Amino acid sequence: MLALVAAYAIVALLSSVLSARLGRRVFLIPAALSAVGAVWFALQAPAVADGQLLQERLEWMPTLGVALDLRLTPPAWLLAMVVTGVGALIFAYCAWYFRSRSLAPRTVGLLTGFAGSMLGLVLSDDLVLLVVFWELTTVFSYLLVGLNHHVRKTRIAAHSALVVTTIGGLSLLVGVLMVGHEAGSLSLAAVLADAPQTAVASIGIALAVVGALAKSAIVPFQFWLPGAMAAPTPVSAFLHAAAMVKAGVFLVAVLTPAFADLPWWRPSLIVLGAVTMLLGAARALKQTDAKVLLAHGTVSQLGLLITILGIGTAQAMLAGLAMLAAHAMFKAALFMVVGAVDRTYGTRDLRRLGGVGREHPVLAIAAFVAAAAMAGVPPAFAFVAKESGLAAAEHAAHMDGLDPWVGYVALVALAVGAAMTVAYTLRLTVTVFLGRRRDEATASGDLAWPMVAFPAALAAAGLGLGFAGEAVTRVLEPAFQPALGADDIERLALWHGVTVPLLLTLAALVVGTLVWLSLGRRLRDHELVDPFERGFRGLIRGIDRLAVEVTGRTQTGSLPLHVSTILAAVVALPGVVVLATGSFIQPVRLADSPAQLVVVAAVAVAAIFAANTRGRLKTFMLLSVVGYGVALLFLLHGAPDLALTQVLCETVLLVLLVLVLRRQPKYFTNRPLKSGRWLRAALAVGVGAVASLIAVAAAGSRIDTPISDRFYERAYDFGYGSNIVNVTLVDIRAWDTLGEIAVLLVAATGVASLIFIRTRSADPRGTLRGDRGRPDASGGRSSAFLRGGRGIDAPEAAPVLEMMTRLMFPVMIVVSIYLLLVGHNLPGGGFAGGLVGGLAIALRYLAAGRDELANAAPFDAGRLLGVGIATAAASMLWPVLVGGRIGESYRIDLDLPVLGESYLVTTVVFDVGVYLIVVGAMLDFVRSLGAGIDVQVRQGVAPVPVASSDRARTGESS
Amino acid sequence: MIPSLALVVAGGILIACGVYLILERSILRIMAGVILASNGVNLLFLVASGAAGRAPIIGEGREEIADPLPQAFVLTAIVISLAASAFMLALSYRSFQLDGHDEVADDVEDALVRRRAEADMTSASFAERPGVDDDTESGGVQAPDAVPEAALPDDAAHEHLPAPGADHSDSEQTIDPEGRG
Repeated sequence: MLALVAAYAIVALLSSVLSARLGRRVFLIPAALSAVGAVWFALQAPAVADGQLLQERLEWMPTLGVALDLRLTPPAWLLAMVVTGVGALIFAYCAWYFRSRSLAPRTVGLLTGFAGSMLGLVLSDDLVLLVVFWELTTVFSYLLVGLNHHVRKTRIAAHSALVVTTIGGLSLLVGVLMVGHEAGSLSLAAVLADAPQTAVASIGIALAVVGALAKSAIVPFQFWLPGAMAAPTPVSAFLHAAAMVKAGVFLVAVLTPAFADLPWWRPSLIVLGAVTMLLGAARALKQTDAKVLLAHGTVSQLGLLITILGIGTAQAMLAGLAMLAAHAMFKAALFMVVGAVDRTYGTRDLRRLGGVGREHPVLAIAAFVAAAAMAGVPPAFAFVAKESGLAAAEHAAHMDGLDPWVGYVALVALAVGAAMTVAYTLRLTVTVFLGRRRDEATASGDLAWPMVAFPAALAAAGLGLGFAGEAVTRVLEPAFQPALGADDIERLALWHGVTVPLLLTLAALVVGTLVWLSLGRRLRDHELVDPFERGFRGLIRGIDRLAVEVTGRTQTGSLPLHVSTILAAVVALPGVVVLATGSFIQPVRLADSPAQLVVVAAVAVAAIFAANTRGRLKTFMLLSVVGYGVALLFLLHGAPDLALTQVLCETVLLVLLVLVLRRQPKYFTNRPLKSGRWLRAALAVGVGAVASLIAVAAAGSRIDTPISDRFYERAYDFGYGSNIVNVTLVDIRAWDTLGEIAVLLVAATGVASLIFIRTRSADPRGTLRGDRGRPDASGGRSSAFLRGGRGIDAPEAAPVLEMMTRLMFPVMIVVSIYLLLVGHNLPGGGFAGGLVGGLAIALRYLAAGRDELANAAPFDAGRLLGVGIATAAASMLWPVLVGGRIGESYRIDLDLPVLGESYLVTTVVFDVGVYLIVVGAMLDFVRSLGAGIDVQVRQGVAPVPVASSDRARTGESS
Repeated sequence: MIPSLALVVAGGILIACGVYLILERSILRIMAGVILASNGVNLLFLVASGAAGRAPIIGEGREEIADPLPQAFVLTAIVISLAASAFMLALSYRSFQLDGHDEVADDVEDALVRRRAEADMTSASFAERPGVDDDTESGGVQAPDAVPEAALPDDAAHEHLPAPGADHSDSEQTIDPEGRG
């Protein structure tokens, strides 16, 4: 069974891929699979009848008691036969119904996926697994109804179906968990064997039944089903007649033996079922679209099933399950017939059809056989099942321990429902197949024989099974044995003598024909709005309006306002907590050293000026003062690595800023709102104060031994390095670093894509060919550098800088590699080394322009980033191959000829990856913001600052 | 382990100045604010991480060194704020290229939603593009011989759609998020 469900999943994935190549014939693959499944299940019938339980179990979440647990109980067997047997015919029918040209490739995959989930649903013994499959069928149904999502009506129908059935699914999940908790087991068999009798369990079962009713389109949820007819006809036949809507009925049937005696069970199910049955039938009697008529008929029949099962006796279970199978057969057959008519005549409108029987007699015969079953005419299996249902109601009226009204109400409802079913059946078949064509413009097309053969086969099966009532009873016997009145049941048979049910059936046939003659022949267009549907739409619209109002009020779209809200919350919540608890009251000293005091004063003054100046360059010069000052503070605190990195980063930032600011106006826009400025200042001071207080409070909370206490020993024992910060980065917390360099990579790529957004084709000289500016091949490759300097314009040339670069570049490269290699033991490492390397490349660009940059780094920055991240990742993963842990480091002792004994720590490879990424990012930055902007200036697409203004001329227009 | 008031004050001032700038609309000023604030946070990180000491390198006294773990955190933070700054620089440049300024305008979508709320309308997902209502039920490419969908059960949803050309709908037509450049 697991294999079959898995096979459906695999076929679902593969068939969509093949759909484009095979066209509509792709449906034959799932058809074959379903046929195999049907044969296999059919062969299990004797074992099921003998009460043997076929079980397959695979642990899934053992700690939660959830398993992939499939069991072939009699009801499961029946539903599995429906899914695979009826499914096989519908899949085969699809191969002729759809047109290859208009077939969306996902259709076959979705339909197969649905079949697999439905099979899983009926076989699941684990309640959680059942809910999972349940929701899967909901999702597949949604996607299939909304197959043509270009049409609004279809989208609304799919949306209603999804919302209603998902609400039901949620209810089911909660119910299942409550029942599972009370029963102490999530196994359906265990819950049924020892039904928990608590109030919680009763509520849980009620919630599960609500879910079942929503799925099976019972009042007040019934409106989604007719809407779901927007799906292609075979989909409707499978999901919305034969299989999916039966899930709820199936669940009610399975729960009946254990929970039918709950006080609310019989009254609510019988009343809701009867109302649904009569409402659906009344609506079906007024439809003019054949398919929608069938849909309302389905609603009615689902109500019938719930009414029968609601009686809650063994007889009712037998009748309900038999009727379920019978309905699947005749309704799927009728849907397929309607689909064939639709395809042949191009319409399903009763007002335009008529006389189809003369042109397609075989189709008409199939339709009449299936329709006779729907109307309950002997000897169809549906007749047998309906007789059994009437008998169940009649028995219940006299049964001990049951209120007599249960039986009488059900009996009356079933009889009236049967009569109305006869009426709408006649309306459908007589109007379509007999008489004369109502609209001469409706022309008959070709009809492929399989589109007749498959519904005919299904109709014939429904007829033939009528003679096999005893066999069906035997197979289902183990299921209804535990239910009420099991020792006194009327087995399924064509002839029980002249009984009340038989008389009622005959009366229903007569009355139904009369109803059809008087009411059912009118073909007027009825614009009836379902009150439940209207209520649902109103609810959804109300929610949408509420969302618009809430969003409109809270989401102003102003970035400063949003940030202010967040920051105000920071002041209001953590700030108040810190103040209230007084945890910030800690002893402090003025400064760690006099030098610190001086630097802090400088930093503070620079920061305050930076926040208030209007000049762009000035702001960032002051910002540099702050940055270098902070570096000094790091150094004074005992953090040389931080100081080194901070200094290098500030330098890089300064270079990048100059590159961008050259194309921007001198001043920031002056903000005229004085009051707003004071408000911002107040908020800013508040946030700064709260952050400071929290920092002090945090410092005072350091009462436990810090986690880094053992880093001192560990750094050397495990990381083989003396620089604890570097060992932390590349070894102890290497995952963090890996994430960080990934951020760097993304930022670099982002910068490049913002600049090279459309230069790929616009670059006339090819110096920035490709995304990241590979150098021009004609420039040649030479070991001499600063050759490109000859290409720079004379006014921009800087001979002194050029000279300095000649001297500095090799030195900087050596320093950068030195920093990389010593990083493990001394301040330095991949970050610092990479930044120095990147600065060296930037220097070559600054000295001699973009051609020089291309010569200095004749490779793609993106590739460098890729190699870097791959190196870092590989260096973390490789220990696994030799039996170590991810990120484990090893020490390799070396005996070098000149340098003497030395050793290599494997994590240096990780640091090399970091180094490559930093250099790659730097290269991307300089290439984009430097060379990229140069090219755009030359092309005239760069922005041009307007003199004495805070604006610039846009670049795109020129 | 007594924290230094000077560091605390410096961190507080940097964060305050940073926040003041972050609340601006110019991308470069926001970027300056982010740099200032992250410097301030890094300083406070040092405050919270214990006393100053010698560099955390083995060979210095075990008890004298500063806590290395926060230093590793701050080191990564420094590099990430550099990357973020570079990205914002590129954003600012691009904004100048397209608009001639780098100020963050109010979100157009949000303004639309606000107007819908004022006009008592539903969200845009309920609205409909006209003229795409005829397609095959299969959802694929439309076949030339495809049959128009027959009448389905009527849906009450029509009534809450604004009529084309109604006075509310002009707000959608005048605001075009794509039309900035």
